[in-house]
Amino acid sequence: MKWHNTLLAALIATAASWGPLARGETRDTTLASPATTSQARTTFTPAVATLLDKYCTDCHGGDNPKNNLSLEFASEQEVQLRLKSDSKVFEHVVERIRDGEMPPKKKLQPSDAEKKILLTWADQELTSVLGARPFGQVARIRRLTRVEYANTVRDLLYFDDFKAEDLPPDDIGYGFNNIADLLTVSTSHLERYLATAELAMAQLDKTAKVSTNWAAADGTYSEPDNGVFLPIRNVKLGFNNNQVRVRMVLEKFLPRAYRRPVTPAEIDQVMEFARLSLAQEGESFIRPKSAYATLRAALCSPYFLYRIETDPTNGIAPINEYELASRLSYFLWSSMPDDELFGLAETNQLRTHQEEQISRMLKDPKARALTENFAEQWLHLGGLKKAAPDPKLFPAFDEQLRQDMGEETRRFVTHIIEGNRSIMEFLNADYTFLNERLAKHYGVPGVSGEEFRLVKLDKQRQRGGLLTQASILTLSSPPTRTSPVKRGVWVLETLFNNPPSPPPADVPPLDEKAAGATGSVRHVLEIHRENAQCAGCHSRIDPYGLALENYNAIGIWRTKEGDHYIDSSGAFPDGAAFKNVAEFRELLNGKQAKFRKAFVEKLLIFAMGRGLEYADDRTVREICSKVESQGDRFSSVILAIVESDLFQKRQAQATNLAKGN
Amino acid sequence: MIHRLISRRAALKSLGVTIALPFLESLAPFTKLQAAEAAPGTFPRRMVFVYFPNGVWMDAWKSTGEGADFKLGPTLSAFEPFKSQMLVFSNFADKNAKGGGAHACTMPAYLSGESIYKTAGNDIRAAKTCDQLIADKIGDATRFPSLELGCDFGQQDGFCDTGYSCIYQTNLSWKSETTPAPKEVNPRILFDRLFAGVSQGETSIVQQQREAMNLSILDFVRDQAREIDRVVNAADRRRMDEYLTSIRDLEKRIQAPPLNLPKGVAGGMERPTRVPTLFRDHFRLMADMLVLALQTDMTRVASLVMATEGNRRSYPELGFTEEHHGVSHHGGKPDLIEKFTKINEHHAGEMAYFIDRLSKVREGEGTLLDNCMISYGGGMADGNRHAHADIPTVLFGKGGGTITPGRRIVLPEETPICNLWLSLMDRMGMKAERFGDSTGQLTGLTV
Repeated sequence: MKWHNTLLAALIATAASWGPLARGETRDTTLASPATTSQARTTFTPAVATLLDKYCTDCHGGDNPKNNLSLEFASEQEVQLRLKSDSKVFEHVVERIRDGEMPPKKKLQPSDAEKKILLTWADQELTSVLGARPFGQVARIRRLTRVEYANTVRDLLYFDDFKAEDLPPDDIGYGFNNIADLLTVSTSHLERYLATAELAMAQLDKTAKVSTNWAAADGTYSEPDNGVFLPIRNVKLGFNNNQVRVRMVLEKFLPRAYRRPVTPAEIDQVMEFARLSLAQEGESFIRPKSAYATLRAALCSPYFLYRIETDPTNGIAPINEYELASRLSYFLWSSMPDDELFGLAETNQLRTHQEEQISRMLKDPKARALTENFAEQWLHLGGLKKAAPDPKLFPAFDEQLRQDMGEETRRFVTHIIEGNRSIMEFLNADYTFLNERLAKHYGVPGVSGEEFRLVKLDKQRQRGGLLTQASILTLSSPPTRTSPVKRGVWVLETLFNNPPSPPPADVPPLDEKAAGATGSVRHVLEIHRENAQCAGCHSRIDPYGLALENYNAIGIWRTKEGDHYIDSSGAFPDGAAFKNVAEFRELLNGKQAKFRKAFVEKLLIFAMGRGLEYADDRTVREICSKVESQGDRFSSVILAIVESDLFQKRQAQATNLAKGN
Repeated sequence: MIHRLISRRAALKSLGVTIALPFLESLAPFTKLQAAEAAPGTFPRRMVFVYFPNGVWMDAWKSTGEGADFKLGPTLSAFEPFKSQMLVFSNFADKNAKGGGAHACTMPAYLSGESIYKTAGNDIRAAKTCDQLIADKIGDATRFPSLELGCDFGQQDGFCDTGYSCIYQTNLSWKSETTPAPKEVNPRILFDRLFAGVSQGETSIVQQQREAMNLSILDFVRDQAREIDRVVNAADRRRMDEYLTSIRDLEKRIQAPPLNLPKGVAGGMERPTRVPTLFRDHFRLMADMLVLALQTDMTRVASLVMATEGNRRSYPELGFTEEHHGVSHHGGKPDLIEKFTKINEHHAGEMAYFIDRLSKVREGEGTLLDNCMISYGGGMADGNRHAHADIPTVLFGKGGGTITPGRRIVLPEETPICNLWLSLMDRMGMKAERFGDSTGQLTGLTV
């Protein structure tokens, strides 16, 4: 009778030593921020004021500063006041100066030494206002997203697939649906959790194999095939005997459901629930029924629905290994840890083995979540489902083509992830994935059949990288035409994580009739940029979109729009000019550092479930240099993120900083 | 726990008899609570907030005249049959809806009168809305303290207004400053919520067993949420508060006496199986179910979102494919204005369907509509300019005799819309000195 599991005993033993909830520990939440009061300083020196005056305030000063941003400050106090009201703007200033975008190329340029003075000053100011935190904070309690919930139920109950589409959708922040602060719970959620748990039990009942070992009525027990509860029918045992059986089910199930060791008291709690709820129906422990009831309850438990982490009492400390297992699995799989991760966490060996675990996890089919969950959100691929090209103008577009477009991008992303290729291929790949329909759409010869396959594009200079894929070109187009602005915004948001400010109100959409009469969308945008109020942002946005004018609103290559030849030339705000899309792609390829940083930031937001703060900036830069030194391999991004303090550690709750008030 | 469960079982047994009641036009409120509380001939007041996004073309929206002698604006022509049932307002403003991300700022401010905190996701903060305040006050009397419905989930990928999380422009109703009350968009889920077990061929025994089990589960998980609540700090505690509040709401719903709706209660409605593609079909399904919920006193307060702010839906059924938000920024171009106005008219036409349904349900001597206050409007006036002055506002119903409809009321310029909400809250039993940016109750709702 092998019914006491040593693994489980060990889990329970460790639970007592780390589980804060088991201990009922209270914590000190009154730690003061290092910089809640700002003393008078002399950071804002005359030297800084002189530099701002020399390089910035011509435009960013006076009564009507450009982009509504004034860099005229009367005193240190004013700097601090303005920073407190909107530190984001200041962070943006630092970035633009550091990246050489400001001052504009045609204006007087500061020397490197002068730049350093400005940047050091800005950093000191930001640090003093935001607090010298080593990194931003992650919520202790994070609800599973709808996708994570479905995947977790699937893996917890060993299903091939599980759908939870009746759960309310999750709200979006920073482009992602897993942002902790947006994962709220309403009565509708709980209603759906109850209903979905019932569905899960019905699916379990239908799919689970009946284990004869388990069904033995003589009380003997042997390990079920796969460690999950296997239901049996038509076996009624005595009350006590069944309690023992149900308890055995829970000892297996509950630590996986809660993603941590559970205490015997916690099992007692669930047993008591089963006893009482069944008593209501005038029944005692009939095993399938009682086990289902307990499993169903566990699926509605906050320990299942939320990822809960423990704060150190003070300072900064590594998260425990079960928490690390969950951080890893929800990052790479959008699901719960598997037995191997739990096993390593149990013996405190996960951290020392995390590199090989990452490479194992990336090879697992569950890593498709990085494509289907992370990349689809990063690239706004959901927008392709809503794209509605006008059927009269674009008869080539149909549902099949829509599917194919999405499939190309998914395969492309998966190829880079699974092949551990350079992330720069997102910009410059000389291959893509096509089937016959899409190849025809692109004008690529020699591809026949439904099957997608890797197609080299070396002779085909019109395509290569994400930006020339029909999916992206279509989802960033309105129904009747291309929109260089939308495409430009897509590039800034997605490839450079630097979205422009929203347009002011009362700006009409492009005048298509005027475009038709005078030549092109390009011409209308030129007129638009003559308006100084518009020029600031549109000189950043438009070049990316105008360069792509050779692709129509469903991504077909074209050289003419109406009667006019397409002119896809342009220049970036830093002065670099291109004559056509080929030259544009060369220049784009030169923006690798910016893309790398943006990609790291996107993955980091997704990994941490929160927006990044100024305090995270140092970490982002460290990750970027690691990634660059390793040839920009995809796994090096994952590894550098996982190895960072952001991912590995928590800090004691400081005073709730900065809400802009 | 066990005592409550046993009494619950007893309650289910004692109430498990189906009472055959005639349906539709002569239907009186069903619930025991209601029957016990309302004297014969008196009916509860109901409040519904119907929202449409992206503003209107004001020239076509605006009605003319004042008092009882007024002419509806062209956009409102579908309301001609209900002219005597409606108040048309001019000059309401929601000034706290102003902000950089116009659509994000508008939606949560409409029913709260408060501005939101600018964030793309960390530290969201809006404000509690008046429908939820009313629900808190009077929701105990009904199975659902409130219902939140919509025809559009809102954006589920990419970026909304730059720098603002999509949570703002997708949520009209907020339970607290950090927790929205998300709308139900799927007609099937709404149908099940309202009528589960009645029209699905499921036996009442199965339903009762499920409810008993669900109550036990809620008891069980509440203890765990409290454990967690004890060890987290304030910022994280609100997560557990939401969860605990949801437990309470659900328990109350399950423990409410069974409705015992007669067969075919959904007016012969089939259980919907999918989300309709056309706005009209979708809206009518949701409106039909809302009428039933109000009629049977399942709830007395609801919000209904035709589409979320900044919505980019296109309405090919109107003969063009340009999307809503795009044509709202028409820049004064006649062809775009025409398309924009068509969408405005389409929404008003469907709203008229909802009002028509309410007006056909008899309650005592009058109709369900007589006992309702149904606001129809949005937080933007001229969508092209994101204007927040003179926002489109119409109110249907007599509020149980507390409102004299059939008039156009021209208010002093920039009268806070919260003055109207404050007056309606008052009529719903939620008395307050002030609400949002209100400056006082609106006078002149009765003559």
